[in-house]
Amino acid sequence: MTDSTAETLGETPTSDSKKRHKLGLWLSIIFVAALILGPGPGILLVNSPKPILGLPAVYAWGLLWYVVEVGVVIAFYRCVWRSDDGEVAN
Amino acid sequence: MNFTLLAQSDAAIADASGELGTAPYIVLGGYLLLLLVLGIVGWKKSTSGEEDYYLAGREQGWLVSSLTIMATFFSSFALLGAPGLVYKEGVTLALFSLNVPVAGLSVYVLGSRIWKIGRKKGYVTPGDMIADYYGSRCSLRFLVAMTGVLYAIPYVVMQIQAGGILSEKLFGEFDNAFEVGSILLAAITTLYIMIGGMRSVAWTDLIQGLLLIFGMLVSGFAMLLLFDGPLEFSKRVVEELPDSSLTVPGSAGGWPWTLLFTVCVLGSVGSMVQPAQWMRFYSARNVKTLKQGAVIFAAVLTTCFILGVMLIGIAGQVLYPLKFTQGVAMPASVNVEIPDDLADRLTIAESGDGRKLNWTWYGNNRDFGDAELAKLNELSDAPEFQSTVTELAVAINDPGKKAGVAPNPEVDADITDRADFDAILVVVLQKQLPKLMGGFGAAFASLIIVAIMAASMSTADSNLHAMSAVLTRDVYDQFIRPQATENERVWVGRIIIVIATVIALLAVIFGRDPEIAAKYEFMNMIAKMGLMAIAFSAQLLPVTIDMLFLQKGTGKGAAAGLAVGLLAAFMFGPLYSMLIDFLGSPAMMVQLQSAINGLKFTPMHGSVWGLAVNIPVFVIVSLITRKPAAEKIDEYRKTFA
Repeated sequence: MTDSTAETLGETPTSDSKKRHKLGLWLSIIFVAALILGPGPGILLVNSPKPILGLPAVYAWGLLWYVVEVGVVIAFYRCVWRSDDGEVAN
Repeated sequence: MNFTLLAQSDAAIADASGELGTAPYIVLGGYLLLLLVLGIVGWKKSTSGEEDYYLAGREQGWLVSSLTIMATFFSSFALLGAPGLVYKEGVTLALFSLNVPVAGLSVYVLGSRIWKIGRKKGYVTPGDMIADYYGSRCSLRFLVAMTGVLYAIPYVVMQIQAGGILSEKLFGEFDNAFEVGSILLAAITTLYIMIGGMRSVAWTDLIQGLLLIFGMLVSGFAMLLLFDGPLEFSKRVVEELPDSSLTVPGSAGGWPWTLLFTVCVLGSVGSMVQPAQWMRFYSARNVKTLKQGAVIFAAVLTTCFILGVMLIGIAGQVLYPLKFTQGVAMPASVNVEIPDDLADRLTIAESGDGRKLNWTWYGNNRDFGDAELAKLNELSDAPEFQSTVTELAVAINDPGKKAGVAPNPEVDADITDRADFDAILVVVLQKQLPKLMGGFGAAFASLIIVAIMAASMSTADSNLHAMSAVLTRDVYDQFIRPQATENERVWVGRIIIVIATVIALLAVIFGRDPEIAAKYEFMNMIAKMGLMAIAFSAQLLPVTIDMLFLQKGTGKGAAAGLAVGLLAAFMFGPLYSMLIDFLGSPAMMVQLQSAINGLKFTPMHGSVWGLAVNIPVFVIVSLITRKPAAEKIDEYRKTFA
């Protein structure tokens, strides 16, 4: 994944943010993977009427990726997105 | 000989006594009054000028920004359309919720850059920014405006339609309840936008957003209570729903993973670049506001969906089983007799001739025990008649056989005219909550019904308000009366709101015609109409991404890409069929439609077909035409750095 992809997902690489940049890349990869596995072709892995942990398999699968996707957004918020860019120079 | 085999489900004998009494009248009346008060307060606080009318002075804090973005994103689609879709297609569609975190991410990723450059340059509409960056005064600005209109009109139509559905279900004893409900929703929404502008829209969105969250979560929680807890709920769902309702591509076979995936990825981002959301990014106080809005959006609204309102659709399939129809090849003559002990649950109707047996049944596995299935198998000597009902449910997924589903008559009594899956939430609330919680149930149900009204109004107001801004600034001011004063433009915007509302109302009432409703399914399913609208707004994505992140494209490339993208989204969507019918089916257009259908190798969201031509055309034309001025590109890059 390139710098510009990381920027697309909210990170701006500056000299003091290498760690944040790296974390942003990993979170981006996890988020894309969650999309492919959750509502994407990954759903075919559990496409059965048989339940998982008592829940319909497809719904249980959805819950898993819901937790991952929301977790990634929270991680972006807490660790990656800058909080010092609230104003812009005119 | 044709037969229809009809098995009555529990729903047919369900207690229909659930009445909400006068609670909905009181709660609805109070809510509508509050909206008007907010409209007037917004007007009193406003100052003259477009920036205040359209962007509330760019001073919205995190709470108002978060809730207005949420309320604009979630419409009747969330509270009626999504449960309706789950009711029609089954558990799989609960995964539709996974589009919400993508939209949440977009609030910061796209929103923060849109805010920065918007604040610096004083933009009001998306067209302001796009036309300024690419240096295109006419064509591109006009195309962006048209994209906004193509998105907004269907979205307003479906919100007004939701008002009609609610009214019809709540006050069905009155004549023309649907029409009156639609007109009232449209009139009150129009009134408070016209009075108070963006400030009123945002304040009402705040109330509506809170109601929306409450309604979505409480309705899901109520379903768990109704089934004695999550374990029992899950157990009944697994045991009672047909296999097709528990797997991809869904009960009616309409949602393969390709469609689900493309809707989750493109549908969500596409709806975040539509003009109303774009203007909400401009109107935020700062980037921090959008950052907070993004995380609230992703965490809260996804939860509201997957653990809230989606459960209504799933529970609906248990409480009010769908009607499945399956054609099975048959010999010319079949002798069928119904045993006495099944006679009260089964009816046989004869019609037509031919060698096809049409099965219709209300489709939960629990409707037929082993002994009953055995008896069903004995009904005829014909070998083709030996299928069990369960096997037929599985056979629905066989693409070689034509299958269909319809709502239970308890949900939609008028199933011959239009399949009203969207009514499932109202029916479940109306009939089940009072039984579950007595007087409290009626009050809860009334509040949730008001939440549906809120969801509809909050999206209708945002889209009408944004459309008036877009048409006034990007069309009227640019092409009709460039010398118009700010005050004049605000008034033109108000007139546009009225005209757009009337057009949307006419479309809703026109769509109620039984012949039209039967022919164009998207006209009577909120989710389908919403997805069609997003296919248009998603065509702004290549331009948006280029402008905010890449800065490689040209104005001519952007205009060419957007034009062909919109055209493809139109031709691959349901509106093209409608146009063909309207023009009397010209041979060339029909042939073109056949060719287009041949290209749809798998079901995908309409935005994909548009983007499939939009992006290549944008890239190719950009390679051979002149880029925006170097100073402009530098200015954008510095602003985003």
